[in-house]
Amino acid sequence: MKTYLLSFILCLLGLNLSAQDYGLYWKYKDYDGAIAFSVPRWAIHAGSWFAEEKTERKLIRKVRKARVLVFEEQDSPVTKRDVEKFSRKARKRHLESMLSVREKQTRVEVWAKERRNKLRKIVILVREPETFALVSLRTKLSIDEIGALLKELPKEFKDKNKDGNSEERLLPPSVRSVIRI
Amino acid sequence: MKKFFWLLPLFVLMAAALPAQNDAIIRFFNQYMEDERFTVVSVSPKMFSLVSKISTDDEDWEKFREVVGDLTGLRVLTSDSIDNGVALYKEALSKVPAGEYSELLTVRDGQENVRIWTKDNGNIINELLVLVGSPDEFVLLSLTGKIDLDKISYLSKDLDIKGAEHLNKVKKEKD
Repeated sequence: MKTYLLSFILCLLGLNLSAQDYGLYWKYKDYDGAIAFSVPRWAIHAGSWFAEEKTERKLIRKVRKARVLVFEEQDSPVTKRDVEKFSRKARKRHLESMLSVREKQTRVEVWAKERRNKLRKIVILVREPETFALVSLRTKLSIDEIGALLKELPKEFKDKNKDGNSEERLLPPSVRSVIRI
Repeated sequence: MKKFFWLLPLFVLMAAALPAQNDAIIRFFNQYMEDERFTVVSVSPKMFSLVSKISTDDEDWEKFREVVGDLTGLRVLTSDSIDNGVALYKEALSKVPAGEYSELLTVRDGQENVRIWTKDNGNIINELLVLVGSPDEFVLLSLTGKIDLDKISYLSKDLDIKGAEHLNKVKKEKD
Protein backbone atom coordinates (compact mmCIF):
# COMPACT_ATOMS: atom_id res chain seq x y z
CA MET A 1 0.00 0.00 0.00
CA LYS A 2 2.87 2.29 0.95
CA THR A 3 4.57 1.64 -2.40
CA TYR A 4 1.37 2.47 -4.29
CA LEU A 5 0.94 5.67 -2.35
CA LEU A 6 4.57 6.64 -2.89
CA SER A 7 4.46 5.95 -6.63
CA PHE A 8 1.21 7.94 -6.87
CA ILE A 9 2.84 10.93 -5.14
CA LEU A 10 5.91 10.62 -7.37
CA CYS A 11 3.68 10.56 -10.46
CA LEU A 12 1.89 13.67 -9.25
CA LEU A 13 5.21 15.40 -8.58
CA GLY A 14 6.42 14.48 -12.04
CA LEU A 15 3.26 15.89 -13.60
CA ASN A 16 3.60 19.05 -11.59
CA LEU A 17 7.24 19.52 -12.60
CA SER A 18 6.62 19.09 -16.30
CA ALA A 19 3.55 21.30 -16.07
CA GLN A 20 5.50 24.27 -14.78
CA ASP A 21 6.98 25.16 -18.13
CA TYR A 22 4.36 23.58 -20.30
CA GLY A 23 6.74 21.10 -21.86
CA LEU A 24 9.31 23.38 -23.48
CA TYR A 25 11.97 23.23 -20.80
CA TRP A 26 11.72 19.47 -20.32
CA LYS A 27 11.68 18.74 -24.02
CA TYR A 28 14.81 20.71 -24.87
CA LYS A 29 16.90 20.90 -21.72
CA ASP A 30 19.16 18.02 -22.77
CA TYR A 31 19.64 19.11 -26.38
CA ASP A 32 23.11 19.92 -27.70
CA GLY A 33 23.93 23.55 -27.13
CA ALA A 34 21.15 24.09 -24.62
CA ILE A 35 21.93 26.12 -21.55
CA ALA A 36 19.34 24.92 -19.10
CA PHE A 37 19.17 25.37 -15.41
CA SER A 38 16.74 25.52 -12.59
CA VAL A 39 17.39 27.68 -9.56
CA PRO A 40 15.76 26.69 -6.27
CA ARG A 41 14.50 29.18 -3.75
CA TRP A 42 17.43 28.93 -1.34
CA ALA A 43 19.89 29.67 -4.15
CA ILE A 44 17.84 32.66 -5.28
CA HIS A 45 17.78 33.94 -1.72
CA ALA A 46 21.54 33.49 -1.39
CA GLY A 47 22.11 35.17 -4.75
CA SER A 48 19.99 38.16 -3.72
CA TRP A 49 22.82 39.26 -1.38
CA PHE A 50 24.87 40.14 -4.45
CA ALA A 51 22.25 42.59 -5.67
CA GLU A 52 23.48 46.14 -5.19
CA GLU A 53 20.16 47.79 -4.48
CA LYS A 54 17.66 47.03 -1.78
CA THR A 55 14.77 47.07 -4.23
CA GLU A 56 16.47 44.53 -6.46
CA ARG A 57 17.16 42.33 -3.43
CA LYS A 58 13.53 42.49 -2.38
CA LEU A 59 12.35 41.68 -5.87
CA ILE A 60 14.72 38.74 -6.28
CA ARG A 61 13.62 37.26 -2.96
CA LYS A 62 10.03 37.11 -4.17
CA VAL A 63 11.03 34.53 -6.76
CA ARG A 64 10.40 31.03 -5.52
CA LYS A 65 11.91 29.16 -8.42
CA ALA A 66 13.53 30.15 -11.69
CA ARG A 67 14.00 28.05 -14.76
CA VAL A 68 16.04 29.13 -17.74
CA LEU A 69 16.50 27.55 -21.15
CA VAL A 70 18.72 29.25 -23.72
CA PHE A 71 19.93 28.32 -27.18
CA GLU A 72 22.57 30.74 -28.37
CA GLU A 73 24.36 31.27 -31.67
CA GLN A 74 22.96 28.20 -33.35
CA ASP A 75 19.74 27.28 -35.04
CA SER A 76 17.29 26.88 -32.23
CA PRO A 77 15.52 23.52 -32.32
CA VAL A 78 12.43 25.11 -30.78
CA THR A 79 9.86 25.29 -33.55
CA LYS A 80 6.88 27.58 -34.08
CA ARG A 81 4.70 24.54 -33.39
CA ASP A 82 6.39 24.05 -30.01
CA VAL A 83 5.62 27.63 -29.07
CA GLU A 84 2.01 27.25 -30.21
CA LYS A 85 1.72 24.11 -28.11
CA PHE A 86 3.25 26.01 -25.19
CA SER A 87 0.65 28.78 -25.63
CA ARG A 88 -2.21 26.29 -25.68
CA LYS A 89 -0.99 24.48 -22.58
CA ALA A 90 -0.25 27.75 -20.80
CA ARG A 91 -3.76 29.06 -21.44
CA LYS A 92 -5.25 25.84 -20.12
CA ARG A 93 -3.32 26.41 -16.92
CA HIS A 94 -4.56 29.98 -16.53
CA LEU A 95 -1.43 31.72 -17.72
CA GLU A 96 -2.37 34.82 -19.69
CA SER A 97 -0.52 36.64 -22.40
CA MET A 98 0.45 40.08 -21.16
CA LEU A 99 2.48 41.54 -23.93
CA SER A 100 3.92 40.52 -27.23
CA VAL A 101 6.36 42.39 -29.40
CA ARG A 102 7.85 41.48 -32.74
CA GLU A 103 10.56 43.54 -34.34
CA LYS A 104 12.17 42.14 -37.47
CA GLN A 105 12.92 38.53 -36.51
CA THR A 106 12.89 39.07 -32.78
CA ARG A 107 9.79 38.07 -30.88
CA VAL A 108 9.22 38.68 -27.20
CA GLU A 109 6.26 37.32 -25.32
CA VAL A 110 5.44 37.89 -21.69
CA TRP A 111 2.97 35.60 -19.94
CA ALA A 112 1.79 35.77 -16.36
CA LYS A 113 -0.54 34.06 -13.96
CA GLU A 114 -2.30 36.10 -11.33
CA ARG A 115 -4.36 34.58 -8.56
CA ARG A 116 -5.80 36.27 -5.48
CA ASN A 117 -3.98 39.52 -6.28
CA LYS A 118 -0.63 37.81 -6.45
CA LEU A 119 1.59 37.21 -9.44
CA ARG A 120 2.20 33.47 -9.26
CA LYS A 121 4.14 32.93 -12.42
CA ILE A 122 5.92 34.95 -15.08
CA VAL A 123 7.18 33.43 -18.29
CA ILE A 124 9.25 35.35 -20.81
CA LEU A 125 9.95 33.90 -24.24
CA VAL A 126 12.44 35.47 -26.62
CA ARG A 127 12.77 34.04 -30.11
CA GLU A 128 15.20 34.89 -32.85
CA PRO A 129 16.33 32.70 -35.74
CA GLU A 130 19.54 31.80 -33.92
CA THR A 131 18.56 32.39 -30.34
CA PHE A 132 15.86 31.15 -28.07
CA ALA A 133 15.37 32.00 -24.42
CA LEU A 134 12.77 30.90 -21.94
CA VAL A 135 12.73 32.37 -18.47
CA SER A 136 10.13 31.00 -16.15
CA LEU A 137 9.72 32.43 -12.68
CA ARG A 138 7.49 31.08 -9.97
CA THR A 139 6.75 34.01 -7.71
CA LYS A 140 4.49 35.11 -4.92
CA LEU A 141 4.55 38.80 -5.60
CA SER A 142 1.48 40.63 -4.39
CA ILE A 143 0.06 43.64 -6.19
CA ASP A 144 0.80 45.77 -3.11
CA GLU A 145 4.41 44.64 -3.15
CA ILE A 146 4.72 45.56 -6.82
CA GLY A 147 3.31 48.98 -5.92
CA ALA A 148 5.86 49.39 -3.14
CA LEU A 149 8.67 48.32 -5.47
CA LEU A 150 7.50 50.69 -8.18
CA LYS A 151 7.50 53.51 -5.67
CA GLU A 152 11.16 52.85 -4.97
CA LEU A 153 12.28 52.02 -8.50
CA PRO A 154 11.64 55.33 -10.26
CA LYS A 155 13.35 57.19 -7.40
CA GLU A 156 16.50 55.11 -7.80
CA PHE A 157 16.21 55.32 -11.55
CA LYS A 158 15.92 59.10 -11.42
CA ASP A 159 18.88 59.35 -9.05
CA LYS A 160 20.95 57.25 -11.44
CA ASN A 161 20.01 59.47 -14.35
CA LYS A 162 20.39 62.81 -12.66
CA ASP A 163 23.30 63.84 -14.85
CA GLY A 164 22.04 62.31 -18.04
CA ASN A 165 18.53 62.16 -19.36
CA SER A 166 16.30 64.18 -17.07
CA GLU A 167 13.14 62.86 -18.64
CA GLU A 168 10.97 61.23 -16.02
CA ARG A 169 9.95 57.69 -16.76
CA LEU A 170 7.21 55.95 -14.88
CA LEU A 171 7.79 52.42 -16.07
CA PRO A 172 10.77 50.63 -14.56
CA PRO A 173 13.74 50.12 -16.90
CA SER A 174 13.17 46.35 -17.10
CA VAL A 175 9.59 46.76 -18.32
CA ARG A 176 10.62 49.57 -20.66
CA SER A 177 13.39 47.52 -22.22
CA VAL A 178 10.95 44.70 -22.95
CA ILE A 179 8.53 47.16 -24.54
CA ARG A 180 11.34 48.91 -26.40
CA ILE A 181 12.62 45.73 -28.13
CA MET B 1 -44.79 32.60 -36.20
CA LYS B 2 -44.13 32.59 -39.95
CA LYS B 3 -43.02 36.24 -39.76
CA PHE B 4 -40.60 35.42 -36.99
CA PHE B 5 -39.26 32.53 -39.02
CA TRP B 6 -38.34 34.92 -41.86
CA LEU B 7 -36.94 37.53 -39.51
CA LEU B 8 -34.57 35.11 -37.82
CA PRO B 9 -32.08 34.73 -40.70
CA LEU B 10 -32.16 38.52 -41.11
CA PHE B 11 -31.06 39.00 -37.48
CA VAL B 12 -28.36 36.39 -37.94
CA LEU B 13 -27.07 38.21 -41.02
CA MET B 14 -27.14 41.55 -39.21
CA ALA B 15 -25.24 40.13 -36.26
CA ALA B 16 -22.63 38.72 -38.63
CA ALA B 17 -22.30 42.02 -40.50
CA LEU B 18 -21.66 44.14 -37.39
CA PRO B 19 -18.30 42.71 -36.33
CA ALA B 20 -17.34 42.32 -40.00
CA GLN B 21 -16.85 46.07 -40.24
CA ASN B 22 -14.21 46.15 -37.56
CA ASP B 23 -12.71 42.99 -39.01
CA ALA B 24 -11.26 45.07 -41.85
CA ILE B 25 -8.84 46.72 -39.41
CA ILE B 26 -8.05 43.42 -37.68
CA ARG B 27 -7.40 41.83 -41.07
CA PHE B 28 -5.09 44.71 -41.95
CA PHE B 29 -3.14 44.11 -38.73
CA ASN B 30 -3.01 40.37 -39.41
CA GLN B 31 -1.92 40.90 -43.01
CA TYR B 32 1.26 42.70 -41.94
CA MET B 33 1.79 41.01 -38.57
CA GLU B 34 4.50 38.70 -39.90
CA ASP B 35 6.02 41.25 -42.27
CA GLU B 36 9.57 41.94 -41.11
CA ARG B 37 9.45 45.56 -42.19
CA PHE B 38 7.01 46.22 -39.35
CA THR B 39 7.21 46.19 -35.60
CA VAL B 40 4.13 44.77 -33.94
CA VAL B 41 3.20 45.42 -30.33
CA SER B 42 0.20 43.93 -28.62
CA VAL B 43 -0.77 44.63 -25.02
CA SER B 44 -3.48 42.41 -23.58
CA PRO B 45 -6.46 43.47 -21.43
CA LYS B 46 -4.96 41.47 -18.57
CA MET B 47 -1.82 43.62 -18.62
CA PHE B 48 -3.90 46.78 -18.37
CA SER B 49 -6.03 45.30 -15.62
CA LEU B 50 -2.94 44.23 -13.68
CA VAL B 51 -1.26 47.62 -14.01
CA SER B 52 -4.45 49.36 -12.91
CA LYS B 53 -4.44 47.36 -9.67
CA ILE B 54 -0.97 48.54 -8.69
CA SER B 55 -1.40 51.48 -6.43
CA THR B 56 1.35 53.72 -5.09
CA ASP B 57 1.41 57.18 -3.57
CA ASP B 58 3.31 58.48 -6.59
CA GLU B 59 1.14 61.12 -8.25
CA ASP B 60 2.41 60.40 -11.78
CA TRP B 61 1.85 56.70 -11.43
CA GLU B 62 -1.67 57.26 -10.14
CA LYS B 63 -2.44 59.42 -13.20
CA PHE B 64 -1.07 56.73 -15.46
CA ARG B 65 -3.06 54.07 -13.58
CA GLU B 66 -6.25 56.08 -13.92
CA VAL B 67 -5.87 56.20 -17.71
CA VAL B 68 -4.77 52.62 -18.09
CA GLY B 69 -7.49 51.25 -15.78
CA ASP B 70 -10.20 51.76 -18.37
CA LEU B 71 -8.25 50.39 -21.31
CA THR B 72 -8.74 46.89 -22.64
CA GLY B 73 -6.17 46.56 -25.39
CA LEU B 74 -3.49 48.15 -27.49
CA ARG B 75 -2.21 47.05 -30.87
CA VAL B 76 0.46 48.88 -32.79
CA LEU B 77 1.78 48.17 -36.26
CA THR B 78 4.63 50.47 -37.07
CA SER B 79 7.58 50.89 -39.38
CA ASP B 80 10.01 53.76 -39.76
CA SER B 81 12.11 52.37 -42.57
CA ILE B 82 9.79 51.52 -45.42
CA ASP B 83 9.59 52.99 -48.88
CA ASN B 84 5.83 52.87 -49.41
CA GLY B 85 4.45 54.48 -46.26
CA VAL B 86 2.01 56.67 -48.16
CA ALA B 87 0.67 53.75 -50.21
CA LEU B 88 0.15 51.75 -47.03
CA TYR B 89 -1.52 54.76 -45.43
CA LYS B 90 -3.95 54.93 -48.36
CA GLU B 91 -4.57 51.19 -48.20
CA ALA B 92 -5.36 51.34 -44.48
CA LEU B 93 -7.45 54.46 -45.00
CA SER B 94 -9.65 52.66 -47.49
CA LYS B 95 -10.24 49.89 -44.96
CA VAL B 96 -11.48 52.11 -42.12
CA PRO B 97 -15.27 51.76 -42.07
CA ALA B 98 -16.40 55.38 -42.29
CA GLY B 99 -19.82 54.64 -40.84
CA GLU B 100 -18.42 53.06 -37.75
CA TYR B 101 -15.66 55.50 -36.86
CA SER B 102 -15.94 59.26 -36.56
CA GLU B 103 -12.98 61.33 -37.63
CA LEU B 104 -11.40 63.24 -34.79
CA LEU B 105 -8.49 64.86 -36.53
CA THR B 106 -6.67 65.06 -39.82
CA VAL B 107 -3.22 66.60 -40.15
CA ARG B 108 -1.14 66.92 -43.27
CA ASP B 109 2.27 68.31 -42.53
CA GLY B 110 4.53 68.22 -45.56
CA GLN B 111 4.54 64.60 -46.59
CA GLU B 112 3.26 63.31 -43.28
CA ASN B 113 -0.40 62.39 -42.99
CA VAL B 114 -2.05 61.77 -39.65
CA ARG B 115 -5.64 60.73 -39.08
CA ILE B 116 -7.29 59.88 -35.82
CA TRP B 117 -10.71 58.28 -35.51
CA THR B 118 -12.86 57.38 -32.57
CA LYS B 119 -15.55 54.79 -32.24
CA ASP B 120 -18.13 55.67 -29.65
CA ASN B 121 -21.13 54.23 -28.02
CA GLY B 122 -23.15 57.26 -26.96
CA ASN B 123 -20.90 59.38 -24.77
CA ILE B 124 -18.30 56.70 -24.28
CA ILE B 125 -15.38 56.34 -26.68
CA ASN B 126 -14.61 52.66 -27.16
CA GLU B 127 -11.78 52.80 -29.62
CA LEU B 128 -9.17 55.23 -30.79
CA LEU B 129 -7.58 54.54 -34.13
CA VAL B 130 -4.44 56.40 -35.18
CA LEU B 131 -3.11 56.16 -38.72
CA VAL B 132 0.13 57.84 -39.77
CA GLY B 133 1.75 57.68 -43.16
CA SER B 134 4.74 59.42 -44.67
CA PRO B 135 7.11 58.20 -47.41
CA ASP B 136 9.25 56.29 -44.91
CA GLU B 137 6.97 55.87 -41.91
CA PHE B 138 3.75 54.05 -41.21
CA VAL B 139 1.83 53.69 -37.95
CA LEU B 140 -1.47 52.01 -37.23
CA LEU B 141 -2.42 52.14 -33.56
CA SER B 142 -5.63 50.83 -32.10
CA LEU B 143 -6.47 51.50 -28.48
CA THR B 144 -9.62 49.97 -27.03
CA GLY B 145 -11.48 50.41 -23.77
CA LYS B 146 -13.23 53.31 -22.12
CA ILE B 147 -11.21 56.21 -23.47
CA ASP B 148 -11.04 59.69 -22.01
CA LEU B 149 -9.61 62.00 -24.67
CA ASP B 150 -8.43 64.48 -22.05
CA LYS B 151 -6.25 61.87 -20.41
CA ILE B 152 -5.13 59.73 -23.30
CA SER B 153 -2.32 62.05 -24.37
CA TYR B 154 -0.74 61.22 -21.02
CA LEU B 155 0.08 57.80 -22.42
CA SER B 156 2.11 59.24 -25.27
CA LYS B 157 5.06 59.96 -23.02
CA ASP B 158 4.72 57.02 -20.67
CA LEU B 159 4.20 54.23 -23.17
CA ASP B 160 7.60 53.75 -24.70
CA ILE B 161 6.17 52.33 -27.89
CA LYS B 162 6.98 53.62 -31.34
CA GLY B 163 3.92 55.42 -32.67
CA ALA B 164 2.41 56.17 -29.23
CA GLU B 165 3.78 59.73 -29.46
CA HIS B 166 1.00 60.46 -31.96
CA LEU B 167 -1.52 60.15 -29.12
CA ASN B 168 -0.28 63.55 -28.03
CA LYS B 169 -2.00 65.04 -31.06
CA VAL B 170 -5.36 64.15 -29.52
CA LYS B 171 -4.78 66.67 -26.73
CA LYS B 172 -3.52 69.35 -29.08
CA GLU B 173 -6.65 68.93 -31.17
CA LYS B 174 -8.83 69.25 -28.06
CA ASP B 175 -7.01 72.43 -26.96
